[in-house]
This record gives sequence, structure tokens and C-alpha cells, in this order.
Amino acid sequence: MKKIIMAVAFGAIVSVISLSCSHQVTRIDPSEQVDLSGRWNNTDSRMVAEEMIETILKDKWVGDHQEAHSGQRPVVIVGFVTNKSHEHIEAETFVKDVEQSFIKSGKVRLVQGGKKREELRGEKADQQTNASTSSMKKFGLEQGADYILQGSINSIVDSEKRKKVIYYQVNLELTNIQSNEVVWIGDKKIAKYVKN
Amino acid sequence: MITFAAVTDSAQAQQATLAAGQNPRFEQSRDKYMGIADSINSWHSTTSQETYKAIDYLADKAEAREQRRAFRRELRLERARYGYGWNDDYGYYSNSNAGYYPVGSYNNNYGNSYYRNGYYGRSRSFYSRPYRNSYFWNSLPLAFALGWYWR
Repeated sequence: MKKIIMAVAFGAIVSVISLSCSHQVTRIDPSEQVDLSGRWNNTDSRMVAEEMIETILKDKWVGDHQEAHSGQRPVVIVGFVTNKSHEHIEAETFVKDVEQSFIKSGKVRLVQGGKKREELRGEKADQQTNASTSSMKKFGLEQGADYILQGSINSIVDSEKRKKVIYYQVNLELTNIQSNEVVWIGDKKIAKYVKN
Repeated sequence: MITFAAVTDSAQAQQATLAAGQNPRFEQSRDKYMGIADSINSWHSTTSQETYKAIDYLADKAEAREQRRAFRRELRLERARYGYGWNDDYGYYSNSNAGYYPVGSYNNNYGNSYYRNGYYGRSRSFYSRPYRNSYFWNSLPLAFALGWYWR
């Protein structure tokens, strides 16, 4: 009897220790809001993307362009976003969602830029020598962009000992490449109160 | 050659027929940016990180704590390499039987040379130098001057 009690007690102790010290991973929905440290997280990125997508396609710049260019859809290229906040933030997490909304809506055309465009041109160059004449792609036929999407991220931190308020402002703007005219500015403001 | 000619031809064509309101000195701007276009366009779809350090009481405290720990670790490593460097001329830690840590007792009790010869530290200390009678050498010029005067 005593041995059984000892064995059960030992097993209980071992299971408690293993459960308390074990590393646990739980998969959650990406849209679920989980704020741990108060820093920039996936919820912030998702909120910014939703706000920008909501306004960018409904604004009048699309209609104005189509009126001025015989109904043709505007062509947008993505420029760079400047992060002037106090944290490392990668804008691609929400800018890519905006690009995706362009494609899905069909109202705006998107062209590739940056290093990916360099890769395309490298592939084109390779095809000049290695691909068949019927299948090789020609230089000089790229679609030129009408507008460039650029942005900035700013933050203000107000802290006092264990309490702080963090304010983020994300701005995206569309600029006419020909005329330098800014045709749309979108912004999303996020404020958090963090108490340690 | 054909590509160069085509570019030149298009440039000349643009020069010949300016668009409505186009600045005739557009070539200056074009020539400037043609040379640096590749480096500028490589920034497309990137995020330029120009962050600043915000004032955060807890983060600054944690950082100071980490710096103190790192400093103490470095100090331990240096002491392990070069010793404690506590040797001085006043006998407290010097090689003296009348010192605070008498010779022999710690060797016998602990069986190691951690307190050997009364030194609280390693004998290969960076600061461990042979004893030098500085009073003698410092007063030598005065003695020489007096001797010269009374010669």
C-alpha cells in the first residue's frame, strides 16, 4: 500500500514538474489580437492594411485618372517607406496587403519595382541568348507606372516610470510620377497605453 | 551600337518636339538622374529604417543592468587572465610573515596555493613587480647635489 502511494505521488510530482516546465506552442488565428509587450505587432499591421485598403480604392484619384486617360486603369509602382519610429517595423507586412487589394479589385494595375524588377530584367537578358526566338521576351516593352506609392511611419512615446503611451502614425501617399502631384494620402493612427 | 543609336534618336526626337509646357532644360535633370537611377530604384518596396531611441525608464534600467553584468563578467575574465593586481608595498597583502594572512596556514588547511606566501592573488599578477626602494632613487639627485657642493 505504501509502495503504491509512493509511486502515485512520484508520478504526480513528475507530471506536475514536466507540465510546468514544458514548452508549449498553440496555433492561433492571425487575425486574433494578442498584445504582449506593447510594441508593434501583427494586429497593428493588419489594422493599417485594412484602413489603407478601405480608402485607397474608393478615393476619387482612380476616377480622375480614368477620365483623363480615356478610361484606362492607373498603373502603380511601390516605392519605399521610411520608418522614423523608435522600433524596427517592416512596412512590407501591410503594403503587400494593399498591393494585393489592387490586383483583386481590378481597378488598379501594379508593376514590379526594385530588386524584383532587376531579377526580371536579368531573366530577360538571359533569354536573349538562351531562349528560342519565338519565346524570348523583348526589352523596351515594360509598362511604365503612372503613380508611385510611398510612405512613412512615425511614433511618439510618452513614458513615466512603468507607464507609457505609444502613438504610431502610418502614412501612405500616391504621387503622380509625371507631374509630382500627390493624389492620395492615407493615414492610420494607433495609440497604446502600456503599464508594466 | 544599334541600342545607342536608338536611345540617341529618341532623345533627339524628344528634344526636337517638346511637350506642352515642358521645360527646355529637362536634359539637365534627365542626365543627372539617368546616372543614379539604378541605385535609387533599388529602394523600391523596401523600408528605410531610420529609427530613434525612445526614452523608456524600464528599458534603460534593464540596459544598465545588462551593462553592469557584462562589465563584471569582463572583469572576472581579466582577473582570471592577469590576476587581481592587489600587491602593494604596505604589507597588507605583501609577502610578509607578519601579514594578515600568515604563511603556511592556508596552504595546510586548504591544500592549494590560493593564499600562498601571504599573497591574496596570483603571483603572476600584471601589477606584480619586484620591490623597488623608491626613496633611495628619488633622493639620489639631492645627494649628488650635496656631495658636489661639499666636495
